[in-house]
Amino acid sequence: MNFNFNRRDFLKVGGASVFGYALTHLMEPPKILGQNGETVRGTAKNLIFINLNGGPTHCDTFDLKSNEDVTDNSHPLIRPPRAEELMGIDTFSGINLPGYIFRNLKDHADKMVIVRSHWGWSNAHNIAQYWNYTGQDFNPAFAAERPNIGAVVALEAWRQRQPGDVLPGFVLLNSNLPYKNGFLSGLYAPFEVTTAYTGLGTVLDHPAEGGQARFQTRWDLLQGLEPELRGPNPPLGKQAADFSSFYEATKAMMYNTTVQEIFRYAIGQGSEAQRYAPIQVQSDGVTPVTTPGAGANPNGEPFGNACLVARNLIKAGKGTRAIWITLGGWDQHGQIYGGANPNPNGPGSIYFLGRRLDAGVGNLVADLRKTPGSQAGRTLLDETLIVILGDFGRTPASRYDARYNGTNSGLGRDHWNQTMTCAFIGGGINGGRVIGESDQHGDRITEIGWDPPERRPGTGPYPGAGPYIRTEDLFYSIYSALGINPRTRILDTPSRRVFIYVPRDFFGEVPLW
Amino acid sequence: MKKLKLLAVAVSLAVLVGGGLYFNRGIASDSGEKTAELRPADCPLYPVSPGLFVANPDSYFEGLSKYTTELGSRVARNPVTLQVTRNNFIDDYLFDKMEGDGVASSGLCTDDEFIRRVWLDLTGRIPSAEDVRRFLSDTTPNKRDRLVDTLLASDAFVDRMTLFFNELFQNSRSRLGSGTDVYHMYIRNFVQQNRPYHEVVQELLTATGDTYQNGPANFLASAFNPEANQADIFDDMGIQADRIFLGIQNLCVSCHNGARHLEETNLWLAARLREETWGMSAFFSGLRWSRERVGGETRTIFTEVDSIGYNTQMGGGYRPQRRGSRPIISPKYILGDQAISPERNYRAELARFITADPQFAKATVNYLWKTFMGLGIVDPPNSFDLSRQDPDNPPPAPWSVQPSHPDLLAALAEEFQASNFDIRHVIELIAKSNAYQLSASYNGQWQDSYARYFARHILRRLSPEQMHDSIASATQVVPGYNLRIGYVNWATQFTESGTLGPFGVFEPGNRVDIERPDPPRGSISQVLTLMNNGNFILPRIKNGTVSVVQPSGQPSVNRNTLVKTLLANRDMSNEQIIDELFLATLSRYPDDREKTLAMEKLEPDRVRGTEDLHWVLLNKLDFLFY
Repeated sequence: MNFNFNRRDFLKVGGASVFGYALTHLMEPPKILGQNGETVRGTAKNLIFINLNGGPTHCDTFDLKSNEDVTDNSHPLIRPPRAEELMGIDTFSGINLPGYIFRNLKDHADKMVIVRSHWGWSNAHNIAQYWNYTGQDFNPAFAAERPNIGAVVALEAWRQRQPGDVLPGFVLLNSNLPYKNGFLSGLYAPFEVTTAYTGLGTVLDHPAEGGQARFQTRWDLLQGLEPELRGPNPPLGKQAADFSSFYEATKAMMYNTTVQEIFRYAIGQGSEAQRYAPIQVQSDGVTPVTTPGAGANPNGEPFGNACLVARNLIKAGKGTRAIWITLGGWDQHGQIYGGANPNPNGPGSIYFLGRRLDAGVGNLVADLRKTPGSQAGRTLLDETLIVILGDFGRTPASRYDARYNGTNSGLGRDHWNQTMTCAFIGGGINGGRVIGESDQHGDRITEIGWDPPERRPGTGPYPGAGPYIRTEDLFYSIYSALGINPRTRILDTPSRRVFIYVPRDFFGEVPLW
Repeated sequence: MKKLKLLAVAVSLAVLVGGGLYFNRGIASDSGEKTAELRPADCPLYPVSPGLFVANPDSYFEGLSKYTTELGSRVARNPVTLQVTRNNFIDDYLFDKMEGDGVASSGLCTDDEFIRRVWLDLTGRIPSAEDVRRFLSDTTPNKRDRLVDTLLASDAFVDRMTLFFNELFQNSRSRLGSGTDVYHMYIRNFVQQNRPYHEVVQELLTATGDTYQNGPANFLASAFNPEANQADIFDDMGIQADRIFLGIQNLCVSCHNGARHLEETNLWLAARLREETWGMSAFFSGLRWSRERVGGETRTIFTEVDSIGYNTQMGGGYRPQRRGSRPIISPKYILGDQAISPERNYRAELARFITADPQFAKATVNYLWKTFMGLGIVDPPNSFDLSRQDPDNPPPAPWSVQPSHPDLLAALAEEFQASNFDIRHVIELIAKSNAYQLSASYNGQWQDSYARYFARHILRRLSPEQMHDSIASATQVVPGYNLRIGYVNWATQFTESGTLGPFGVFEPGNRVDIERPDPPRGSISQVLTLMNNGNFILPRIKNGTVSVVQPSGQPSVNRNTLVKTLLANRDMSNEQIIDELFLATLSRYPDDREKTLAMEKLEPDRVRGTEDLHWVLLNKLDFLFY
């Protein structure tokens, strides 16, 4: 598909709009420039970004290493033997994964592509996280104006909005984002939701005596008192007119049973919230405390609940096209296996944290996979790209004194950006594959898994990037999957610097398809 | 240690990236036109060729595109005579320009528009109903000037300007810990005493000692970055001083020379060398510090040692490796060739150079102008291009002179210097000008380019602080907060934006990395807060009471809302209630149509109608914008 902005696309915006005035200034062409000749895939409609804050240990998760494969006698163990047993290392659809941890995800390895030759740009949390938000480096001169990729997706998806698409394009679930829509309009700001099983009642209801009827009375009086300010040619200028359009948008969400249903979920024994929460296992690390689900918190937990609401949002298809969920706790400098005697239920251990990730995303994937998509023969999973990316990897066994059995002296791992992973699930990619390979400990990238000529070692205009897969390449691929031209440029930013979704031409598409 | 080493790897990679020579292949526009080859760029900011410059979807001021800031290029030059009179020299410069270029101005604003505007600008909140009523019924001449005088003498003005300087100086708890409170009180004191600003700046630049004891020592402490080395910190101190006191943004030139980076952004910076930034950093090179973590916060104790300059040989840090022409760089002022005295009292000398520089006065008055007029004469005000200031020596095409009114900027700066750097005097001049008092509504066809003429009042959404304080004022339930600096009521007194609570959605900025968006933007979350916030807003429009926190140790007090007070007064007619709500909230009387509509709500149910009306007024666009 050759993707190209043109005037017609912009004019379409108006017809599909629920926000009257705010879009008219978007329609004045050409505001956003695409570049001819960029081919994008467009296999996905929605993006769910799972941000693993702190930096997940790649060699215990998506670039899983095993003691059995180590030939280096000076560092013979990846992890202590008991810790190894609790991983459940096995191969699923051709991908080696920790089966006891990823007990749900393992069933969807056929829909997953894991990039194992990703070399991150930074070992500092705040800078690495900034890369995840924007796909760009932290430059203090204009860091604050760069939008999160979710805001860019919302901006791009705005052209396709249908009447009835009442939800914001970008939704943030149970997470914080320091950098949000940057210089982009509040139209594309993340709608920040703290989930509750009761839904968004306290946010989307009018908490006054008389409830909805009272609200309608007030609303009508408001409209009646300032028809000229909220009319088609408002005298207070663009800013006020835009603000008025946010009133319309908010009203459309309030007392909307469809919207309320999206944010509501059941809790208690056997509920969905419980299904999305990590189970407790017996000391063997394998057997659930009772039956699957029953050992989990019946009221769920924040990450699982966020995944559950994300599923509802995608299923409902009411205008939300990008979802951001952060799962923290990955900065495991100590006790990564739960201490000297590995405890598979230790909240800070890779086992429990990994199972939280798995319960949330694994069930999300399973549910989307069961649901037909908007096109015949495709499921919602095929139309939704799930990206799992952290700050960086964690230091492999090869860097530690062997007497600690693969970890640092505090039984944890430190920061390691030279080998890190990114997992893609769904979104119409060609799953069941890994791209790239690292050495026996996960120390160095040994196979890159792609061969862009301009990136061969010692050649090309950008030797610093090397042939490794860079964060820009990942973001290029995400944009491509969503049918968004990664070379799109937005000009006249507050800093007067052009904003390019993925700057520099030599970054390109990772072979996910 | 390990972490630091790894960081160095990351930084050296970044250097490789930075050092790579990369030529963009040229970009074709939508229409298929091939545009000019772009320059080699080794920083992820791409210069934009002139023909391609278009506005972003959220740009509200067309007049601000970077090349065409010069006025008069897009309007028919048919001189007009403005109907507005002139009140001081500001009006002469602005109105002469408009008349010459054939741009008509809007008329003077009404008294109710004026009282609301000047209260919000000078105190951060709307006036009370009583203030409005008194002002509107006042028939004596010069009542506007007298109102400006009264407000400038108020405590609320002191708090409002304390907020201004807290933001300008980036006084933030995340960087300064408890120092932020000491700094806050220092700022408040100098605003209250209206001390000559150059003296304040000299104190900020030369302070030593403990940031938890000595307020001005926090100015330099706010340059500390977690991953920085000593040279980085000196760089950041210099950059901070340049931006805040001179309005120049030479951060870019602290990592690389301006050449091949900034040609399309800033002509003056494009010609700067990284070494010139170091010359400024070198003024701070005698500073030494100890840093102490106390309860998750950092206190800094500064001392001064004898130094011969800035060491370019320092490893680590977060900037590309420094390779100076000499290992030690001596202090050199970036805007002049002033000799450095052999006593090597570097920071005191820098403070003298800066405060004696006309650019210091220009930058300062421009920051103030932006605050009260909505747009800087140079905008953004921290981005002066010093090669584009002189109309007699214009920059090469396609550039134009940067300030919209260079002569006015110079005149204001001279006035500021002549007044012994009297901040309040500059604000008074602005507030008393008729240019400030123009109406927001424009007769005739408005064009975006007129904004830079200041041909009408530029409407702004209330800031989060103004929103908090105005809702408190309009409902007559002013909240209380026990902060570390003591008991406060108004958001202008907050020492951090976190205290704003639900008003945080209006994007106050975090004072460190994230500036508040300019102009402020709307969002669904903001509207949800205004319509449905059940903690702060809705209880305040109910016929009821709201519990207000009192100074520590005293029990909370229940306060009646304005709605309750009005309804409790049996003598009040419905019509009077409506008048009071309009005066307290919109700072004006309702017009006939508004009154009729409101009466229809109050007649059947006085209590509900009054509550509903107050909710509506707080959500009206003419409450949210001013």
